[in-house]
Amino acid sequence: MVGFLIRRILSVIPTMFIVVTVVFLLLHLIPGDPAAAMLGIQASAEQIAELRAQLGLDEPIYVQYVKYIIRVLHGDLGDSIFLKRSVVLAFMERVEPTILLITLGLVLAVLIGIPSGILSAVRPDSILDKSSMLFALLGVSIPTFWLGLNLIQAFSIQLDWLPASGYAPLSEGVLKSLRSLTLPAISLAFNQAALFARICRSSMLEVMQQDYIRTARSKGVSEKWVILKHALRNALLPTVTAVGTAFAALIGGTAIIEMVFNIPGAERLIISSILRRDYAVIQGSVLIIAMAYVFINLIIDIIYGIIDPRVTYE
Amino acid sequence: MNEKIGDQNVYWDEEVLVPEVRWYETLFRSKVAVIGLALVVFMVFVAVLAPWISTHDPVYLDVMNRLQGPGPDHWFGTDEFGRDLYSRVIYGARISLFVGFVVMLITSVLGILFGVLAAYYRFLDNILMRIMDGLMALPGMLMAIALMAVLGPKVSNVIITLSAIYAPRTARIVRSVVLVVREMTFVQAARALGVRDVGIIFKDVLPGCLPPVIVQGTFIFAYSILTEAALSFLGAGVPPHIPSWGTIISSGQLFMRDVPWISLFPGIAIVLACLGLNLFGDGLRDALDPQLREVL
Repeated sequence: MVGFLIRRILSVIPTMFIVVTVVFLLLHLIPGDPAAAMLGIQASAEQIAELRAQLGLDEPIYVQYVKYIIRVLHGDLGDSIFLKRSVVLAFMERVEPTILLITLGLVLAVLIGIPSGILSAVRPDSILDKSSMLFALLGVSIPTFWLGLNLIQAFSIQLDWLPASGYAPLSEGVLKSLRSLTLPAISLAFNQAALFARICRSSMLEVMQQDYIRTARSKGVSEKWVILKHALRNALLPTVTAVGTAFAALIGGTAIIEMVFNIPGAERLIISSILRRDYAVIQGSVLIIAMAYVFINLIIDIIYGIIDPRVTYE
Repeated sequence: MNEKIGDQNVYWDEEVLVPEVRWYETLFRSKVAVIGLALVVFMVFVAVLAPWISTHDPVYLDVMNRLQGPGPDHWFGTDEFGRDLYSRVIYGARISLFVGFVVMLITSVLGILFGVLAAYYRFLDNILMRIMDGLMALPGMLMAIALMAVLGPKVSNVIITLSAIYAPRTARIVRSVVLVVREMTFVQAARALGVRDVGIIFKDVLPGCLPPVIVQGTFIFAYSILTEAALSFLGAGVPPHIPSWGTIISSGQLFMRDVPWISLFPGIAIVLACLGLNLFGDGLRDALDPQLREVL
């Protein structure tokens, strides 16, 4: 067990190394001079030269690479020229709505997806099963941003129930904050709920055919008890993994929803930085999000190893 | 063949005993898969026949008739420049399906290449798979936007970006399949007979990994349509003047309050195309190899 933990934790290092390398190369993919691109067409030659020196772009690329890695290891992700503060600070200021949005979206997806998967599996081929699987297929076929636009049209413009855009920070009250994130979270949750429903249904169907379920039934255990106590517990394992993967996928997947609903979150910051050519923020924020992704996957793997005794630590 | 069991003559035929159901028979027996295929074929026809079935020039500006509702002249209405939305959605199918199809091809080829290399040559495995892990850890949508910002809004750049994002997934799947196939008896036998690696890879290993690659390909096709639309919606995909489903939704967003149909029709087109691909992909997976349910 301890060996498994150590090996799994060590395996993060090469992955992170690749992530840092790709993020570093991003700046060098820009055609022409990144410094000129950052300052725009009105910049003078001296300004460009000054920025080049400041960013270390005059040095050979391998020197820049080593220096970049050393800086990242020290937690220094650079400073934003436009925001006039460190990238880490700029990111942290905007991270609250993004974290809330991901959490709320995931909770909604679990609350919708898992029960509909179970209900489908309990009565396979019923109308309920067919309609819930159709809903699941729709969920993976609808563009998230288009769903968001339609939700705004229906619930904000036509019915006037919920705000169409913007974000109320937690300091203004939890309820107000949740209200502002309801529509964005539904847009995000729909797709994930569909995935959960499909996975939950197929693993439930598999478990329901096992011998021990037949044994439980023949002992006269009520159907409800068989489903809730005997089948569900085992069928939930793959679903729990799917929830973990979805959590990781949502990190880095809220950008377009933050744009549609005008939420000042961390990922919207990245998009506006891309438009401003604020490369320090782009590199730093992508790096933070990728790290979060890698570490959440690590935690899921470890939890999975702990809750499922069948997983061997080889 | 017949045999006497008790006092009954039992006849059987080997073909009946081992009914050989071909994969396409299973596929066409599944109603949803047929509906999916029909939707995909319909969309492809729309894209190919666009010049003949459209009613207007999709880029013709007619400012006098801007923001009109759906009617006999303009079936889906007109946009903010008076362009005919029906024709734009029809032409949009060309861009969206083209991008999806080419990304599917590129990711399949790259996925097979890297997957086979990783599974077959153990010294490459660790390096390649760590690179794939690293690439998959990067937030896909954000990387796509960042790459597009660096490369510039062009259809070819959208294809490059999406291929870079989705190829690692296919590579992982191919690798896991090849790892199983290479240990199978017939492959071991071929190796024992002295068949070279290249021969084994082309003759025995590749046919084994095609089913999962094809199935994964249909899903990547659908993802690519969705992501291309999202990129174009953000203005980081197909240039705005070219009609693609994403660019039309994007232009409609500004007029959502008063003329919701601009975004409505291209959105429905995306849903239908992706629904078709997903239904077809599901059917294909069940027909080619039911065990794939575990991996795909």
